Amino acid sequence: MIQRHPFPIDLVFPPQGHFTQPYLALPCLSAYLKENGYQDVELVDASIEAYDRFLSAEYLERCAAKVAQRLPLDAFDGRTELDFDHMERFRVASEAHVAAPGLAERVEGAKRVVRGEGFWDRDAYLEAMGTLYAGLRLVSAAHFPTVLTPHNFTMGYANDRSEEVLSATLDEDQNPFVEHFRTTLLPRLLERRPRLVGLSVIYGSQLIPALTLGRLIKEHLPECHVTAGGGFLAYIGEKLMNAPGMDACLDSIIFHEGERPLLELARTLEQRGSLELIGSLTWFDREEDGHVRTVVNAPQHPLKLEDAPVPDFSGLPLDRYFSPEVVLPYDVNRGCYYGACTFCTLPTVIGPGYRTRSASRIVDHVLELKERHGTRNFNFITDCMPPGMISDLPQELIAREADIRYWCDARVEPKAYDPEGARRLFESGCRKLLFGFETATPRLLKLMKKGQSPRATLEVARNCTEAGISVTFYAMVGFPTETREEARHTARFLVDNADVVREVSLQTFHIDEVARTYHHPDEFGITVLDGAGTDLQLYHDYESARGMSQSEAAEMFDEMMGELRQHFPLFSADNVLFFMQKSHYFLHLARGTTPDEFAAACRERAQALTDPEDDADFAVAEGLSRVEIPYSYARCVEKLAHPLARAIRPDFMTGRYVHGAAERARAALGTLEPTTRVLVHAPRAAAPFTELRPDGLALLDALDAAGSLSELLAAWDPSPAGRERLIEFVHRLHRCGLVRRLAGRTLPSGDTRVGATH
Amino acid sequence: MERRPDRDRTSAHSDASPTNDPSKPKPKPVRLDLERLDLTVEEVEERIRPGETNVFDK
Repeated sequence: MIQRHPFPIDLVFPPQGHFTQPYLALPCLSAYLKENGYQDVELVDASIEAYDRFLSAEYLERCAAKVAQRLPLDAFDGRTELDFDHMERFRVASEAHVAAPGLAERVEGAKRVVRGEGFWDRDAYLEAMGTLYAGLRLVSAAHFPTVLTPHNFTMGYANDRSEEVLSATLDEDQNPFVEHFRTTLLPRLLERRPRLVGLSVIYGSQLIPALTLGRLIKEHLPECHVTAGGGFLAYIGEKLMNAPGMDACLDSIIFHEGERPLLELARTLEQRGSLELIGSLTWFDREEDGHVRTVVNAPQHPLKLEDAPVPDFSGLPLDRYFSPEVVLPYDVNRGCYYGACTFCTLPTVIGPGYRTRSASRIVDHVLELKERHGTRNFNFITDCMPPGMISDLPQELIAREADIRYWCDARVEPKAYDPEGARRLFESGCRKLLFGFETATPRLLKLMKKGQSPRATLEVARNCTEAGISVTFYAMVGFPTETREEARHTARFLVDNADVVREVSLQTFHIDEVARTYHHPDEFGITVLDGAGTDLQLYHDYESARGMSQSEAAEMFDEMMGELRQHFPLFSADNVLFFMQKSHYFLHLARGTTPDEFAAACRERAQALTDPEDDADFAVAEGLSRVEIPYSYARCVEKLAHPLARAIRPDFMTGRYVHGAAERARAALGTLEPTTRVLVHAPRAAAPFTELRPDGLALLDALDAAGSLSELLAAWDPSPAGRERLIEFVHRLHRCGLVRRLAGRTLPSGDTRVGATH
Repeated sequence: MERRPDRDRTSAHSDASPTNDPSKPKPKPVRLDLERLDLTVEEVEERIRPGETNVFDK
């Protein structure tokens, strides 16, 4: 191995990515740099660092104080109505005020639960996840209108306008990462003084945080070269590098596969050479007169994947992720061997061609990672495995007694996933597969060029399910020309096969500039619309001559999701939090719980909430807090959940605002009349917020004062009708988690006037 | 009723005082006319946004 003199390099994963497991890009780059002589490479997962700090007692206390100052509830008093423009503010303020008490005291315990043995206790886990979600709501409220969730980070700035993106990097009031980076990561970098910092920007949600960090580094370490790469920049990097002012945050962008360009960049910077010959690099040439010129270099040849080293996770805080056991990502191949789906753009993002590793090399690496990090849990990163690999890899894993557990995406290959193939996959450690099902309508599958039928997909799913593998379907609503009836048919198909399909990842269709749907709109009967003034635009609205409009597709999403939540055990009540946390359901499977056992536990939890016995006794749940509010929170949330209103928030995938959406929403959704309501927060409930009338709160207080329902009945001795109303009310409170069942206690019968029996 | 979340008045509003804490004296429940009360309960579920179901990629 070549030894070089010190040349510190920092590779940073900026917020926001999911907090349950590390990402793969930086370990791949680090291993390649080290193999080629650059030993001083530090990996920084700035995303998990931020989540960990934001979800701390001290930070949440600070957020609560900030919310009291920035979003006071009494600011909503005395209005004749609540107009649409203030509804989001009212919702956020109400939630923050009612949920803040006690949050700081609970949050450290919640992190201990999801990181430790408490994870395996369903009640403890779901309560802890609820606390973490509540914590993020408070962090968001403190930076209103910014929203940070486990899955997203958006601000009141549009991601598709460079001027707004750059302004967001300076807005300390709304951008929590300005203070966060300045007080945590920047001092470390100033001490270490890296010569090169690489930012991995895979998602749109990372763009503003990445540029925020890039700006700080460039201000304080002007001699350090700041480059960026990753999937999201493969889409918009060229536009970004032509945006005025972007040179204040970056020096260059690497397109597609990063290993070779990054190594060449390090060598060139070390030798103070010219950046002109580095493949796949676009960079700012800063001329002496201050003029900045964007230079686009020729593409680099991709790496021979078989020769790429085992990813190096050293330096990442593997014990800091919000999971009890680490799940390591590993790329078995890059690109897609099929590559024909008309909606898909991933091949463009990953880089040219399909490349794979041999089964024996994959198992070499997996065993090495297992040994190094003491984990047998893997998430194989692959768009899909070709039929040969579906056979070879399990055989190799079995033959070498790898004893691992893994999950990955998959393409429907009926011959490969026959009963024998599925059994072999299970034996090799596969516990979960995610197939691109998309729709149950053959006409649409043809238009998508999926090359599969619903029948074949179901057969593959059934084989996997019978082998003990949990099956997830990716499904899509709103593909051009799809009708409501077709979407409902897909929902029915999924519900009818809920014994075979455990999870559905449902998406609304959208068009980005790389997809075939964008370049050949005529084939799909659509007209693509351009957004005015959006110099970083990637995603586009469209109008369709046939089928659902975009707005109708958004409504249909809600309808379909409602069906799924009703019929899929993993989507019922707060069980959906398992589905929402990436590998968390998989970890149960990896530990030996079967998909059937897990589904049964989900059903049991949901039924316990909905089916109390007629004579069950209850007491008020612990830890409730409440606040009086001057408008209906429920009506407000209802209006804000309308597709027209959702369009005013930056979209999850795109981070963009829909032009004119606010005006349309304002006109269509109207205002809210003042009324007196009580918002109650139950930290342990399946749904965090319940709205009562003042009468309901008085009765809740009476129940609390009595100690239990049986004691209240004994004290009041109500009429039969009153007794019925009271019990019905308490059962509804039970569904919302505001009261808890008193085990072993029952109510006295209607005509008895004695207390509860034990 | 107070504007702020009240965590002390009864255990219904408090993390710190468990509901069935025997050391805490309970006020006598004031009798209410059950047949005339507005007992509407509205549970507000968090809507799952379309993109947020793509949890495996992000």
